[in-house]
Amino acid sequence: MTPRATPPSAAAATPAVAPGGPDELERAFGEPVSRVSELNWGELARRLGAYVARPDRTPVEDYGAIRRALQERWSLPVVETPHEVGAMSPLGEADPDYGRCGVRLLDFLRETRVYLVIRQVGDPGGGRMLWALLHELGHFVNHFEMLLSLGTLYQRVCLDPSLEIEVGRFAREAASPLHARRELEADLFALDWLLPVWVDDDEALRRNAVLTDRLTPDGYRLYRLRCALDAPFPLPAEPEAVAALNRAGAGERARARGAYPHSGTRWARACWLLFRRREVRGDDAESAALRRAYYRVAGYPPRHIPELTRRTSGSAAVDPELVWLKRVAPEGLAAEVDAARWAPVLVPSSTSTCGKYHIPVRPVPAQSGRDSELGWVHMSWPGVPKQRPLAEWLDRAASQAAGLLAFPRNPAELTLDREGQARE
Amino acid sequence: METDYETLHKRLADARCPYKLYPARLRALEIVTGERLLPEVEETITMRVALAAGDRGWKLQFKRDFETYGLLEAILYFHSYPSLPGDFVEAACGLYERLATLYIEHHQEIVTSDDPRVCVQLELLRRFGDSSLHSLPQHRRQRRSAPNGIAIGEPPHPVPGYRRTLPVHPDLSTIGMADVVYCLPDELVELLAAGFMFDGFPGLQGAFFDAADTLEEHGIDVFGSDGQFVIGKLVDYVNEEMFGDFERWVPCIECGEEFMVTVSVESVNDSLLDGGWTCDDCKAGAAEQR
Repeated sequence: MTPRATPPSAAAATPAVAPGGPDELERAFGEPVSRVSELNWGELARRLGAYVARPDRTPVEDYGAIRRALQERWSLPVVETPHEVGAMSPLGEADPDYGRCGVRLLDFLRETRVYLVIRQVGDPGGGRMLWALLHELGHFVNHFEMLLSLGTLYQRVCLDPSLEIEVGRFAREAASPLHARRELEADLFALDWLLPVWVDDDEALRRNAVLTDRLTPDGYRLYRLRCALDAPFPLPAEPEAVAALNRAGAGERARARGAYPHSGTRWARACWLLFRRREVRGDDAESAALRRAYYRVAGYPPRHIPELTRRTSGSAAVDPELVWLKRVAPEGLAAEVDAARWAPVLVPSSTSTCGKYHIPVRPVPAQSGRDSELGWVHMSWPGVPKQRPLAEWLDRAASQAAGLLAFPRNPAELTLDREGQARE
Repeated sequence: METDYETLHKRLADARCPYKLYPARLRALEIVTGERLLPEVEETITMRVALAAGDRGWKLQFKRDFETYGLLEAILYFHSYPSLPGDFVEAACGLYERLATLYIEHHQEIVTSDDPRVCVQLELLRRFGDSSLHSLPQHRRQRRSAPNGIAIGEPPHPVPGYRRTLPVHPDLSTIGMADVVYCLPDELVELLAAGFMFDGFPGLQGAFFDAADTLEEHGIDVFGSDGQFVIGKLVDYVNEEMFGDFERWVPCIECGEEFMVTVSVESVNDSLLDGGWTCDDCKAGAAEQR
């Protein structure tokens, strides 16, 4: 890690760039909408993308203000959790230390609800949670369709359990590069939010008169990044401090010649992008190929369910290397659904074959009580589903030689339920 | 076989299948029976109708009618086609008869199935507006009895601090219309009304029987005060056309002749006790026999 110039105390002069306020958030998120859904997601994502690309904006760096704006203007829940955040599928669509952009799978054919999960760390006002929030918002803007398709994928697996093997095969080959690309795109959104793209242009920096005689463009870029990721501090005036900043800027630019450190620290990822974002912007051929391959397996558009009109392929043999749904024995299900889980869990009908179908069930919303104690309902049931205890569902699945795919509430959904936020 | 409306209607109505056989419903039937039924429709009707009617456009017409209105109506529309060979129409009606009988046999199994492959077909039907049953004579439903008489449906007393025991209908929740409820009968009125509004009104012949089944499932006597309160509310909603504006013609459960009904708590109670709606003539005949 490049040694950093020590920021002066916070009591010193004001920072060189004043962060944006409520007006900026209004420009970013626009008029309030009652909810974010599949119908308005595209428009909201385009609006936010266009806002971030504007050269005349002043970045908002207040985590709390952005979080409030998301909740008040878009009714998009942002849940903070002390738990390590897990993925919902073998595609690893979560960052354990930051969070995830999640979808609530309630009833398969109904509207999908989106929420953001942020891993809670000591100081919610700190740059780490700000970065995490912007990163997850980047997933929302760039990868909403893939999130939607996750719900579809689970539905398809219930209709045709052998699809799990097919998805497992794809995940073995492509999950890692796909995850890396998606992380890069989400990071890029976060960086674009914090440092407008004109910062990349030396001429623009000179035109805006932010450079002093001694400060290099890269030194200034690094200064801005530190202000955004850690805490704002005044642009140093002492020659030694400026020289240190310039050296650090040059060092980071040299380091950025390597590959994107997608499992690196927040600082390493942001720095790499700061000096490479011009090159990586837009869809590259590899990314497009990965997406195409994913949608060949998962189906496109993301709500497409071919099993609705065609016969399923029948029960395939279980390949232990390729299965990815967590399997538990019936007697272990109650404990499993009460644990902090981020993905569904399967009580399989057989250990050797995938079975004919899985019954998808979820607990009903409740402000208190453990999942294992609540009533559970079928997730594909037409109209109002009937609540049954988990044990009864186990019996029903066993009597039909079907798998039981349980979708317990994850820690974020538990928080939403406890707060009484409507799930249905 | 003749292809005029009356002949076709009579022949198809004989199957007494109240459920519209849309492709999705037949897919659900395929799953529970393991038989290949849609290909049979394809082979017996779709692939032959163009040749039978002398124009390829009729194939498209049949497919569209089948998807939009169901198999009975799609065959019934043969009366508007150019003259069709009798053996073709006979084969189509025969197939309908077989599928209708098979469906009735498996209806209960289908609507209570946990198999998501079946459930999604029913959910698709619901979404595309499986709004009513055929207005055809139906089999008599189980007669209900009121050994303790029929109470007056008084508004139930609110239960202090009452908490919902039933899930709110998802569509009602989506549009933010779930109301505050004070007792179980309130909840049941909301649940049944939302079902009739969003999942489709099954027609006068079936609606109050379904409501009675739901009440009994929740331990409420249909002919007790709470049950009559719920029935009364639903009668009001029907008369306010909350579940749609439709003609109140119903085929008599005895003679099959259509007659106009007045929807009131009394007439609904009569139909529940008789196992279906009965015309005045049949009622008088039954009274005479007694």
